Parts: sequence; C-alpha cells; structure tokens
Amino acid sequence: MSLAGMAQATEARYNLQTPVTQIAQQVYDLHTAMLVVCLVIFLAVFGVMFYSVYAHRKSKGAVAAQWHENTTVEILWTIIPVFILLGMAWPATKTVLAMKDTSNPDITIKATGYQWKWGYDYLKGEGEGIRLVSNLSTPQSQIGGDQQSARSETAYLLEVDEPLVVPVGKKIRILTTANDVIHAWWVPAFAVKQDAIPGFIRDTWFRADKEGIYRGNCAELCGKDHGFMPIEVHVVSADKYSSWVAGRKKAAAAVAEDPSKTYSLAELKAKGQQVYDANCAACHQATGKGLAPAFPPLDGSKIATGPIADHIGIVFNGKPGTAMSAWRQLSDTEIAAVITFERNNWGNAVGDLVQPSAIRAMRGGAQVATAAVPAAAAKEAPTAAPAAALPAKVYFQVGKSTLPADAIDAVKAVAEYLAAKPDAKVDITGYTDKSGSLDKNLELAKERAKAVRDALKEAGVAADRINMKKPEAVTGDGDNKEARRVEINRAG
Amino acid sequence: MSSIAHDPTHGHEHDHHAHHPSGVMRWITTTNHKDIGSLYLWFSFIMFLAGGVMALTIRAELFQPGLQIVQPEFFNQLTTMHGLVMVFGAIMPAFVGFANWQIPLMIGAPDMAFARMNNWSFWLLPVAAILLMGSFLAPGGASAAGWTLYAPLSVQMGMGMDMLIFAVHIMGASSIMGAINIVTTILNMRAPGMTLMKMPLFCWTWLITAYLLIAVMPVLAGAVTMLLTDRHFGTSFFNAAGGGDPVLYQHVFWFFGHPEVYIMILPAFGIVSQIIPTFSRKPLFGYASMVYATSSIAILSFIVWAHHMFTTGMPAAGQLFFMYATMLIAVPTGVKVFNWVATMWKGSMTFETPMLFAVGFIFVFTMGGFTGLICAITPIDIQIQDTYYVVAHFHYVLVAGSLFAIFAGTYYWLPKWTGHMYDEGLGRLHFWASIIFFNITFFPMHFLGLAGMPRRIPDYALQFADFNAIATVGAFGFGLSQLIFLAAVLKCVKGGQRRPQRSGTVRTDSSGPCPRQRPTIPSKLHRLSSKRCWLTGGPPWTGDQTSAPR
Repeated sequence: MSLAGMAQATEARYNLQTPVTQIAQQVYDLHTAMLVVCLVIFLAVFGVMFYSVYAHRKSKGAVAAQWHENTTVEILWTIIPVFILLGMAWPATKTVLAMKDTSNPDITIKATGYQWKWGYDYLKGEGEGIRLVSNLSTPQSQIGGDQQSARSETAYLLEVDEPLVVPVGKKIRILTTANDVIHAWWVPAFAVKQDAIPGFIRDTWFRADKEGIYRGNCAELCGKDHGFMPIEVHVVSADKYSSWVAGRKKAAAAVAEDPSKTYSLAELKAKGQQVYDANCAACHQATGKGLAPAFPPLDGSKIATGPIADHIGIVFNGKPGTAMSAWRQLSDTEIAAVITFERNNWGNAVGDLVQPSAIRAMRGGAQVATAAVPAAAAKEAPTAAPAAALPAKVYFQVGKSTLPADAIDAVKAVAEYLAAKPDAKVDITGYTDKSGSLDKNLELAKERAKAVRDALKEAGVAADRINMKKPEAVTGDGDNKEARRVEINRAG
Repeated sequence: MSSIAHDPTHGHEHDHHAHHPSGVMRWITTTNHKDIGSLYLWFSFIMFLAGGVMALTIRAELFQPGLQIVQPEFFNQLTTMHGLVMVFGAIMPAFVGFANWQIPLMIGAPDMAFARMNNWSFWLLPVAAILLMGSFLAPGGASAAGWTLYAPLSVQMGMGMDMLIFAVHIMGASSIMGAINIVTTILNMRAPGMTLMKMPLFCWTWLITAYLLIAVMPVLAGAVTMLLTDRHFGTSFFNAAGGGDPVLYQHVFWFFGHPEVYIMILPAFGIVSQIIPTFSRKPLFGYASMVYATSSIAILSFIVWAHHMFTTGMPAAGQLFFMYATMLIAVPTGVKVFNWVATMWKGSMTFETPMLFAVGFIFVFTMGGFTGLICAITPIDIQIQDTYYVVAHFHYVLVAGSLFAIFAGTYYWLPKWTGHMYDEGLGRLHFWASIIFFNITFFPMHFLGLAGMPRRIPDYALQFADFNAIATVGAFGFGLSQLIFLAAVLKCVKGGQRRPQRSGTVRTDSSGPCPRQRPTIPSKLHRLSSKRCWLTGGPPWTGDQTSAPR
C-alpha cells in the first residue's frame, strides 16, 4: 500500500517531538511548564550566587560576616519548595491516571518483541487476525557499507519492511510481551513507552489525532541489535485502513502455506534463504561465518553438518545461556526451509532436507526423521503419522463403556507412537455428558477409560506407560458427542 | 612546626625511621590509614582512566552515523563496562580514599578502627578489577547487558558475565568492610569533647553513606547471585517459564541502585561543605539543617527505587507513590544548595582551584538536580526514560557532581597529604577545561534525549548527527583535560613550594605533610568545648585566622 506523500512526523531537534495524541500533548505541556518553573528557580538561585561571587570577594575588600544560621529563612526555603512541588504533582497525577486508562479500545494489537524485530497480532477490532513481522529495512550497506550517501534523512534506521497500520482517531490498545529478553515499545509522538516483558503481558494505549508516519525505537537494551529494531506506525484514514485490512486478508489467503506439502531441495533452499536473512543473519551473518566469539559460525559448524535432529532441536528450543533463542514462532515451513538452507549452503553440503511435516511432528513431540535427497519420498511417509496420533480421542455411545469399533485406529496409532518413543507415557482421562446422576457418570467415565487402557494393552503397550487420570464428568449436553469421550494425552 | 610543638615526641624524623617494610611490601602490608587512602585514590584514578578510554571509544563510534569503529556487540560491552568501572572502580573507591585520609584526622583518631581489615578491604579491589577487566578476554567477551545487568538479557551472556558477578561480590565485600570500618571509627574514636554535632560535615556525610552501603551492598550481592543461579543452577528467579519474573530483578537491583546513587553523592556534599566555608572565610550556614537534610535524603533513597521502572507497567498507585516520594527528595537537596549559597553570601571569597571546583559543582550539579526533578514526573519520565536525556541527567550529577567534588577535595587536601602546594595554574587550567568540555559533551544530550534518541545504541537516525558530533568533540576535550590533573598531582607529589605554615595556634596536626604515624592518644585539642573543632587544620589559603571554617 502506498503511503507516499503522507505527512511525515515533524523532525524534532531541541525538544520533544510534535505530539499527535492528547496524552503526548499533555506530556509536552507538562514538560514545558516544568522547564519554565525550574528555569525561574535556577535563575533566582544562581543570580544570588553569582552576584555573591562577583561582590563578596576578598580582592574587593569584602569582610566576611560571621552569622551561620537563621531559622526563619531555613524553614521558609523548606516549606516553599513543598508547595511548588504540589503544584507540579497535580497535573502530573491527572496525566498518569489518563495514561493508565486502557478501557474500551477500538482495536487491540499485541506487540511482541523478538531479538531484534517486532511482531504484531491484531487481536480485536477491525483487522482481527492480521499478523505482521516488522524488520528494519535500512540495508546493511547504508549502515556500515558503501551506500552511506543513500541514507534517508528522516527514516535512516527508523524504517521497517512491514509497518504497523492503524486508523486515525481510534483508541488503539497495545499489549506488549516478548519472546526472549525485555524490549520496550516506544513511539515518541504518541508518548507511549511500554516495556515488553517475556512471559508477561502489559498494556498501554494511544489515539492518534493526525494521519502520518510516526517512528520510534526499542527503548530497552535487548542485546546486539538493540539499536536496529525500529517501530514504524502508519496512521491512516478509516477508509484506507479498511482497504488495507481487506488487502492483507486477501494476500494471506493467497499465500497460505500447506504444511503437508512436500517441497524439493531447491524450493526449501530458496525459501530458507529469505527466512535466514530475516531472522538469522543478524548474528550468524549472511556469510554464515558468525561473529566470534558470541555468535558462532554456521558454515562448517558441527550442528549444521551433524545429525539433523540436533539441528532442529537447537532452532526449536534455542540454547539456554546464550543469545540463541527458541524460534518456535516461525511456521513449520519456515523452520524446515531455514534448516535445509543452512545444511546445504556456503561450504555445507550435507545433502539432506527436512520437510514441514516433520517439524509439525516435532511440535507434537515425535522424533524427527529425515530424508536424504534421493530417497526422500520413501523415508518421509511414516514420520508425520505417529505425532498426529496425540492427543487422541475415543468417542463412546450414550451410557456405554464398551469400546466402539471405529476406535481401533486411534488406539493403534497411539501404540505405534509409543513404540517409536520409548521414553514417552500417556495419560488417559474419561468423560461423560451431563445427563444422569453425578456418581454414575463418574463411574461410567472410569469404565470408559479402562476400556481404552485395555485396548492399548492389547495393542502391546506396557501397563506402566499408561497413567489413569481422575475421571471427569459433565462436559456437555446429552446430544453432544464430544462430551462422551476418552482423551489420550502425552504425559508430562 | 609550631602547631605540633606541643607534641615533642612526634616528628618527621622519627616517623620516617619507624619499623615497617619498604618498597612494594610497604604498600601491600600497610595498615596505615594514609597509605591506604593513597592506594584507594590511585586505584580509583587508574580505573577512571580505564573507564574513560571506554567512554571515548563509545563517543568515537557515535561521532558520525553508521558503524565505523566497533561492532554493536562490543559497543554494548563498552557501555556496560564503562558504567561498572566508573561506579565501582572510580567514584566509590575515591570517596573511600578520602574517608581513609581525612576521617581519622578530622575526628582526632590515631587510625581507622580496624586497620588490618582496612588493608584487606583495599587489596580486594585490584583483584575484583582484574576479574572485571579480564572479562573482556573471556570467550564471548565482557558482559554486554548494560551496567544494570537486567535479566533475562544478562542470563544470555557468556562467561564474562560470571567473572563480572564474582567481581561485584568481591567489590561488595570490600565496600561493606570499608563501611563498617568508617562507622566504627566515627562512633568510637572521636577525640574527647567532639560530639557528633561538632564533627566536620564530611564525617557526617560519610557516616550516613556508610550506613547506606551496609544496607544495600548485600542486596546487590543477592541480585547478582540470583542471576548466577539462574544462569547455571537451574533456578527461575527471573524466568517466567519457571514461575519467576524478570521485573523482580529490577526491583531488587534498584533497591540497591537508588541508595547507591546517594552513596556516590553524599560524600561529595561533605567535601563541598568543607571547601565553601574555607574560601568564603565564613562558617557553614545551617550546619544542623545540613545534617538533617543529608539524613532525609538517605532515608528517602530507600522508597524511590521504582522511579527507574515507570515503563515496566506498574499500577497507577505505584507510579504515583514513587513519583511523589521522588519529588520529595528535591526538598532536602534544595536546602543543601540554599545553605551553600548562603554560606558564600557576605563572605570574603577567593577562588583557588578547590573553590572553583566547588562552585562549579554547585552550579552544574544543580542542573542535574533539576533534570532529576523533571525525570521524577512519571508522564515525562515515560517519554524520556532510556533516552539520552537520562544519560545527560546522570552525568550531570555523577561527573559534575561526584567527580568535580573529588577534584575539589583532591586540590584542597593535596597540600596536607604531600606537604607541597599544587601548581595553581595547572589546577585552574584543569578546572576551566573540565567544566567547559563537560558541558560541551553532556549539554547537547538533553536535546538528543528529548528529540527521541535512545541510549545504548551504536548508531542513530540522521537528525541526531550534529549534537552527537559536538558531544564527541567535548568528550575528547574532557578526557584529555584529565591529563592536566595527573600532571598537577604528580608535580605536587614530587615537590614544589612548601605548604605554608599556619600562623594560628588552633590546630593540632595541621602542618604538612602529615606524619605517617601519629601518637595513639589524640593530641590535646584547643578550644574544643566552645567551638566546633576543625582538626583538618583548614588549608593554608585562608591566611587570616579570625574565623574557624566549619
């Protein structure tokens, strides 16, 4: 979408940026008022001091007085500042309360800080479901390379590939969180700065009164590229916003990835290159040589040329105690592509590839099978199946605890999964619907669970790998098939 | 020698023939408070230069937009280590050095209360410093998590972080021992007749500072220990996935960190409160209110810590409480500034180097005080938190505050320590170069911060280029100016004009150089009961002795 010609936020040099929200205006005015009060006091106190420095010099024949206290004066200059402070605290308090009022937003967006970019999820309101990932778009060659003259006057280091787009005049609530370390979401023109804390959600809000492009930065030290994860917000008219939302949805539908598709090595490598550049190159470098010693090279590394399961494991889980964070937030296809790329690029030529379906299996807890290129199809087929087995559900008829005939497939799949993962165990929980007495239902749920357990045992699963959970009753109406089930989950 | 004539057993000749090791062993085994004071001061100067080199590398990188000199990861290591080295290596040990030299002299004690512990608390410092500086050589380099070491970023760091944690433990132990020593000395070893309210104000500020140190250094040790166990022993204090909270680290750190700020400024208040009356030839205005103001600042410092955390998303009630409490600190701080100005008023002032630095301190420190007040206002703070405005603010209070007071105190007491006058021309040159370049460096940072430049970034948007270039020029000027200081001190230590003798008879122990060892029983103090005594023997500049500076 073209925003050319839209107003750019006025560039500030000496003072706070031009406010575009009411809160920012209040902050601006508060700062101006404080500055004036402080300047007046400053001039008064140092007027006296410098007059004294000028007049009460020994060289001018000044003779020192010997008084050294005056209770009245001392009390006065303790009390008067208290009143000045009260005068400052009053408007500040009102602004604090207004800043904290995140109720009744028109649109709620979650901003997630990653090392080193922002992800946005439109959670509620128009545009719900849209997801963006916002990377710095200033090319490396402008930062430290030979393209320095091409830098944008207004946007150098403050430009992104996918800006956040919001409608003008609407209350936008921003939820912040982070994936790895603490970041802070800051747009000066909105007077919004909120830490994004891993494992916690915080919120803030703004209502931009003027269309335009507003730029900010991450404001909490978050590692190497802390200075290179800007925030760019496009505030647009309601109409433009609606058409942007429609455009995003259409595009999303068009490129929806099919994670069960089988890709060729070339396809995965091409896609992997994009994923690598956007996510990995900041540390491991485009050359794959890394930045010693904190960021190890991938070219020729033991992990990128060793067993593929280790490679997937480190991408999936990160390496605790280092800057290598978990990359679960990437899609199955992206993870599969980037791993394939890393194993078959630069000097690495392992030759194997990993399919998105294997990554999906990994999320389900399965072991990863890989495929050498020539025999890809043959080896690949069984990989996804066991993982899909869990969690499994077996549905029963009303009031019955006999295993229905169609449950045998699910039981078999679970047994196969357990055979493939010798250290895995399963939990079995029985459920019933709400009709009938509670005691009876609990008993029924127990019987149903037992029936599933027996079937599993018959399929060759050792009894100590099955945990019977407390039965649950009453999970739905009498006509609800879902309520009369037994769930088989992976334990732990 | 008239002033020590009442103590005939005690003189230089005897002093220099005392039985103690010579050469390097003298310094390693010394239990003499003056030797240890000198060690602290030299140590802190070396660390000041090390931290300064890091600062200049940072400024050089920021001279122009783009990456030229260092890579972002190393840049973060530099900002981290610059902060830690300056705080724990330069400013704090310098004040302990002053305490060692001056407190026994000021209260008439023969030495510090625990002389051997005094030695130990100093010699821990070089060990910690080697560990800290050595972390640059560790795999992965030094810690790059900022001097605040916020989790979980600090959990990601390499081995350098562990070295840093142990260095902080060692420095903490050193500080606690130093503080206990100072408290014990002041409370138990004052000369007969010297009540607490007759002590020189420098002793008061250090007494309060020492209590702050004892209260908060264990808190820092706790914070970094939790980091250590999170890093290596599977705990989850700061890891939400394990039931912890990253913000907990910030609360614990700043519960140490805010009193720490006053640990670095209260002794500076003390030094300035000694110097202003001397060169105004007029007693300090409002001695009692100075003591009360210092105590109030210390107490308030424990209930304002979360003003460093306004953007973490605390409830409105929390933001308001910490805003009000922080604003309240302006009151006792204001009282101090008013008292200093009132001391100068109707005085008979001369402006030798110590006085220049003291007046410069009041002027520039107060600017830092005002920006501090502006930062206290929560909505404004949310806008300028983690920007260059904050960088400007804390350099105005820590460089123009603490560091200028250290310079002032050094020039003020050098003649006493060495027996020679320092070179006044060099001193004045040092002052004017420092104050001008200081402002060129840090004043533009206010504009940068307001306009939206975050701190701790190696590269910045183009609209910030002009002020960054100016700041870098200023920083190099400021850095080079400190070589003048080194020259002035070396010249003074080596020789120079003998320190003029006082004509007055008030003082004991006022002639320089200070004898290395003094009798264990404090010399008789003259006029002690009627006036606050001034064992420092006021400096030689005052000439006329009609007034006793206090």
